[in-house]
Amino acid sequence: MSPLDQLFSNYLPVFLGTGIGAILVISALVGSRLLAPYSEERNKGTTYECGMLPIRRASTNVGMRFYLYAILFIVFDVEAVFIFPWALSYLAVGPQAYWEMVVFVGILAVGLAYAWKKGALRWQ
Amino acid sequence: MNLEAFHFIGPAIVLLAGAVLVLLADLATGRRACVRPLAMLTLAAAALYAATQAAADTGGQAFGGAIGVDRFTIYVALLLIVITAAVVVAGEPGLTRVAQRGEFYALLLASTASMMLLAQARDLVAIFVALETTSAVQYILVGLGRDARASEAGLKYLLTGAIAAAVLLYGFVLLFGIAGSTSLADISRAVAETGDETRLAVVVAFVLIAAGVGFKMAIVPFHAWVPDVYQGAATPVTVFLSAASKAAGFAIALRLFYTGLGGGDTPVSADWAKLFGVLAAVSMTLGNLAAIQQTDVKRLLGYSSIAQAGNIAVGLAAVATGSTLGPAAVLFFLGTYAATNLGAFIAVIAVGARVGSDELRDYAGLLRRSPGLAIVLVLCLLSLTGLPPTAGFLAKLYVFNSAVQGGEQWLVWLVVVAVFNTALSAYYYLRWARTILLDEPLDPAPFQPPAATNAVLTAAALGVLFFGIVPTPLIDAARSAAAALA
Amino acid sequence: MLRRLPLPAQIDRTITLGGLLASVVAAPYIVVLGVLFATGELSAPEFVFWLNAGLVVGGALAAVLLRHIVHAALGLVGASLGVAGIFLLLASEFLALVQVLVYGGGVTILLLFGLMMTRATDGPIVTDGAQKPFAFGAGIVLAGLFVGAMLDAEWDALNVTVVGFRELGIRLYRDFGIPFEVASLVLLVALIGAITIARREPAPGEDDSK
Repeated sequence: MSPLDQLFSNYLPVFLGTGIGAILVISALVGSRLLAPYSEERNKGTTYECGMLPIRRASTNVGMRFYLYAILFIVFDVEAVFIFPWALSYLAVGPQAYWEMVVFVGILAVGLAYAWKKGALRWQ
Repeated sequence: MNLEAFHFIGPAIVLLAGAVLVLLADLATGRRACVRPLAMLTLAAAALYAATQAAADTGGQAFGGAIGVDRFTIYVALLLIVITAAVVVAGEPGLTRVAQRGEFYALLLASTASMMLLAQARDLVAIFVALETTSAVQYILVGLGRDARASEAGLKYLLTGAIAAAVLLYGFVLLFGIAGSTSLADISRAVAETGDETRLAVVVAFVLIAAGVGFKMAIVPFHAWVPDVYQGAATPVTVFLSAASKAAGFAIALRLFYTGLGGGDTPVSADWAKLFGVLAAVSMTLGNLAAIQQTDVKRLLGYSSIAQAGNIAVGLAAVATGSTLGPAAVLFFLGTYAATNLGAFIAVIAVGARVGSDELRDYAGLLRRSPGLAIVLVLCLLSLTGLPPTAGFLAKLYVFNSAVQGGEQWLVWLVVVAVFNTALSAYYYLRWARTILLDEPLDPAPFQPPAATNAVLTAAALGVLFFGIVPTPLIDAARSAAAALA
Repeated sequence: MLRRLPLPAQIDRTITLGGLLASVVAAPYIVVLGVLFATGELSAPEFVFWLNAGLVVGGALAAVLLRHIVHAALGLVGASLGVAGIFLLLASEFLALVQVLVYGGGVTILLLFGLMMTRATDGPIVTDGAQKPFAFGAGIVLAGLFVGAMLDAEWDALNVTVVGFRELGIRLYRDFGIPFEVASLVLLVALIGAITIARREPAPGEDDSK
């Protein structure tokens, strides 16, 4: 078995799982639409199906805090992604790789310190 | 890995360390007084480092050939440091709309460092990452002001910049596909050996790359962001964009096209030379025609910078086998343009801080209100027009000469267009100069700019005059820098 | 007797539309691929490639064409997952991982927060301007150029070889150390930028339901 086939056979379960998952969801939705009872009435689309009509949309603007958390998440997400190949190769590369990661994490730590000091981590 | 590799990127490391220090100092003390001196100190240290590299004639490559140092990178590094230093020293009066000074100086230093790394990069990956860092920092710098105009400018810059980055990346991907390597040296070899069937791919690749770096150089048709961003950003940021970012854009264009696509020595170069010829002619004409109609001086200088980018791009178009006349002229132009533009913009900052507006009519009778400022500004306007005895005259002369020496018929026509455009640009530059010198002031009260501003203005004026009369030191430096490109 | 338990009309419409689209476009596409695969016309990697390619193109079209901005973002997720599948086919496990983790997850969340922060509605938003036909034309021309260039050229980077995490790490940390460090700088700058620009927002507790 060539390395390429090896790789593909590793991912065969992932592929099958994705396919089966998609089929399950689609068949559940389509099945319930076809089998379950269902009404075309207009008022069924309103929020509580009865009572007062809502006067504006239920959705509001999300606060800026969420965005800051999302940015922080991405920053450390990317850091985590870079650590995987680093963990497997730093013995082969030697001290250079070690110091590179120290600097990388150090620069991100400056960012974290900045976010902390500026109160971006505080939930008000 | 050895210490020499870090020595090669020493100035950039100094600037980055300084940027982090400025940020931490601002965080820790909360006192704004300390950040500006710290930024100046960092720039001085980096300049000293780059100067020792220049004196020792440092050269070589590191990090698997991804980063190199030679006279070209040192020339660009020193140019960038001088521009940033001028912005730090004289920019303070223009920062009234910017509350976060610590971040401003830290980002300015980080941007300069990444532009220096950009000039040093010899690998598509390193180039792209450095370019994106530069852009990301500049988006934030533009959006730092506390009003809707700055936010609008920041958003416009970000959106157009993101598209430019994507287009550049498409070009890089095509080049990588052709060469099977991201190193510029390998790409240069692969492109020289390609047959006719790959030619379309190469042409598409360099057109896309020209579009991506054309955004940084602000040449037509990749210029649409310039007027709004120049007007909306805080004026010191505008100075930085118009002098430093443009210089970095031309530097990376020289590196990509002269090192990566074979300079004058491959058949491909005849194709991209024509592309830059067309872009140069269109930039000059449209930039000048639009500049004539402006009443806001920042917009006027924005359109003027588009037209000047067209002038510089004539040097890019003038490739010839075995000659580096074109790149040398580009580098010389960038040096003199930095001095001229710094002078003009810092005068605009001084007037804006006093008058509170950037309208052309507020410059009426400036000669009687602040004679020193007026004289420097007029001198810079003369240099932008390209009249002797200023540096701008010689810069244009060198660029046009390099095109005529190229020996192609269409290059001569390009120079004809450029000369015609110089006449066109004289109209609005000299109209501004006339307003300053002859018109009745609206408010006759005299005023004196701060000492730091005066110092930078004097230096810029001396630079414009000195390189206009004794160009030899700068042209020699530009020539040896250009020779390092091939 | 069965009591009729209805679905809200809006959800119902979405499902009907989606079902219609799936049955008209996606289902025949998948069926044709399945038949070709079963008859041996397509090899297994080719079959997976065309499935992923459909996902990428369909997701990208959804992201551009759908009026409902959250649906468009979902289309984008589909497209980036499809790209992850194509990276896998090219034996780039690491890139596939990055694509799923960073783009399918993080960037999409960031995008959705950004959208929800700036728009008070999650309903349809008309973002088309007069430039739409020009943008369409430019897109077609660009795509044509790419296809033309790719069909003609001789590619040097066509050999698919499996590169493990270890080999990738060795290349990355030995030869591409500088771009790697600069990447951390981009992240730092993004963080600083988000915080400095966010701090100008109105204080929490103010009316944010305009």
